[in-house]
Amino acid sequence: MNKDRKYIENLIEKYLDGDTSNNEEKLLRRYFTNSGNDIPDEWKALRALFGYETVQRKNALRNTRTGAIRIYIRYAAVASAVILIAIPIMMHRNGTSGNYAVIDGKVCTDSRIVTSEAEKALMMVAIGEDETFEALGQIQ
Amino acid sequence: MSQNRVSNVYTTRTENNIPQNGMTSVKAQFSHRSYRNMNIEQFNRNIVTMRNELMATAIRLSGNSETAEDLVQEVMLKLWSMHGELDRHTCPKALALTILRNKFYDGRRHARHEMTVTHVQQDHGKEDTTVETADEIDVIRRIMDSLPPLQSQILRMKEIDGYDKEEIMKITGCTPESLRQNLSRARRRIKEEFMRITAYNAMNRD
Repeated sequence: MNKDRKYIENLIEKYLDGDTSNNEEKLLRRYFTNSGNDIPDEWKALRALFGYETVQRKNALRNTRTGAIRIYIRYAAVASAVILIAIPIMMHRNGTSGNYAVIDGKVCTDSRIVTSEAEKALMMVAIGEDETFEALGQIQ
Repeated sequence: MSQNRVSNVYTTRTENNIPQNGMTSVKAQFSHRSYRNMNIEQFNRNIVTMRNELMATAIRLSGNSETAEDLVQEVMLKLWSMHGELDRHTCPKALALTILRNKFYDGRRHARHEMTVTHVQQDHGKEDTTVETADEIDVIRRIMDSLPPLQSQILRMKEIDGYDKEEIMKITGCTPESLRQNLSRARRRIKEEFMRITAYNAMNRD
């Protein structure tokens, strides 16, 4: 037990001199996490310091995670907006708007031809301007 | 000097996974090591090369090579904290000199204040160790806030952000001895202030 204390005491001196390696610091932290209150008063400062650092690390981790998630959401939002805009544009360019006409037995999806055929068909059943107002006159 | 590096693995953790021992949680937190290494190398090549000129200006301003060294390291740390945006600046050297001058004049304006004894509220109704621990941590926080900025930044980078000594040296351009000194000063000061404050509190307990 005393040997362990002596070893820890040496490590602490090394730590306070700024000379400890990463592994040695790991060892010190582990010691203080498990040590409880039965330690010299002089060592309690280190226990408090390591406790403080553990809390700070957890906070830093939380920040990078939420920060990363926020950035991810931003990118996802931009990406989905681009996709939503791109789809109708692409469809319009291909002319695959779902409208089609059957000409000479063949299905034709070219929007220009479909549109003009549709207009021609509509003209055949359309009433002329004058007819509309004449119809109004018939209402009593 | 072969130091074993903490192997950093980027993992996702659930809340249930918080380990009892605070150390292992460190591994999950840092951005991927090799990416950060590449940035440090780049940073070191581009920025640390202007160190001589910065030192010259710092010595001229402060008249003292120790203060100048501290100032230059602080400038490097500040530049590192914004290293993602450095390409937007057409002249990083002008930026560095501006930061240097600002830090120098800030330092003069606010004289380093000695830590006044703070009375830390301690609830003695229950002799509960968890309450005591939270108070202890609060004392540390206040001491950290009162440390000279370079010392607290370097300690934070080493122990909270998990940088290696080699990485800190590459970022600040400092010598191993300078880094050792700053870590040592910070740690000893924390220990001394902590003991002073807790002794004061013990004396004034009702």
